[in-house]
Amino acid sequence: MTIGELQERFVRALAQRCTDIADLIDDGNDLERLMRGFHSLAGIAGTYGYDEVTEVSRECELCCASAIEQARALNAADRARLIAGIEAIRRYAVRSN
Amino acid sequence: MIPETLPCPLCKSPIEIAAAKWCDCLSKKLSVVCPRCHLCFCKLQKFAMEPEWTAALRELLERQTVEKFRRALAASESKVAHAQTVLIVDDDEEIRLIAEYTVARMGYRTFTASDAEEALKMAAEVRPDIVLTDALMPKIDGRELCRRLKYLDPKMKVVVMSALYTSTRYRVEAIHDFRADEYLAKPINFKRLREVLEQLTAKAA
Repeated sequence: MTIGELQERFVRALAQRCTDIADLIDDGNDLERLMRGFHSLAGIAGTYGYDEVTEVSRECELCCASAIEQARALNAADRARLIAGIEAIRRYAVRSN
Repeated sequence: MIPETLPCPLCKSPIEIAAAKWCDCLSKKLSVVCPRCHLCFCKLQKFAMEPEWTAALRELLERQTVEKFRRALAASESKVAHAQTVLIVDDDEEIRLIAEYTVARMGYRTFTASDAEEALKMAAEVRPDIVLTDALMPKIDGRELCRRLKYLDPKMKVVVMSALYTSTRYRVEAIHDFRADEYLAKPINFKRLREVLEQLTAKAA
């Protein structure tokens, strides 16, 4: 597999990643897993040079980290922020495909 | 059996078969140059090739091909045997793939594990020279994995990777508290990764 093929594979799978993360936001019970989802996305997107995705993912990761540190569930503002983030990434995936 | 000498098809003077070499004058084929008349056998389509010459050159070609293959195989085995081994640990398949691709292209032997438990089993089995692990993983995180790997083998080099937002705090914790040998920020900068692996490889040597 070449680097280009790996990159294409990432972009193709990006929409599914967004769906998986959106499901975790809806569920709201597994904050650690949600944070890891954004964490992974931030890491891999930046590796391929998709800085916009990394930036949004990192903000969402911080939002989850903050809720975890405060030992609380996601509030309405957190949810809105995360949903806006994941929608922005989804739009980016559609544009890139 | 190849005879020691055969007569040149043109001038008939004896030619040592062992003098056969890869011809660089025209066809790059295995050939023989007559020391007297300088006939290069790769041009022998112009002449009637005598059957003993055909047989001798074919056998010689087979021998040299086998020898060449053996040398290539030995070189490759030697390279692999001396290559440093890197175990890549990340719960994200995409990161494992890109890291494995890149590290393998740098000349290292690579293994991957999708979580710390798998990594510990693999580390006990293959004893990698370097472990490149994500910080944030389910169940056992990268820092704890680092501590356990060092317990398993204090000489094993461990590099912890983490996202930028925790970099300063994590770097201090990972390097000092958990005895990680190096810390890398995510997204992975492959130039930096190469430098780190080279530094650790040099330390281990």
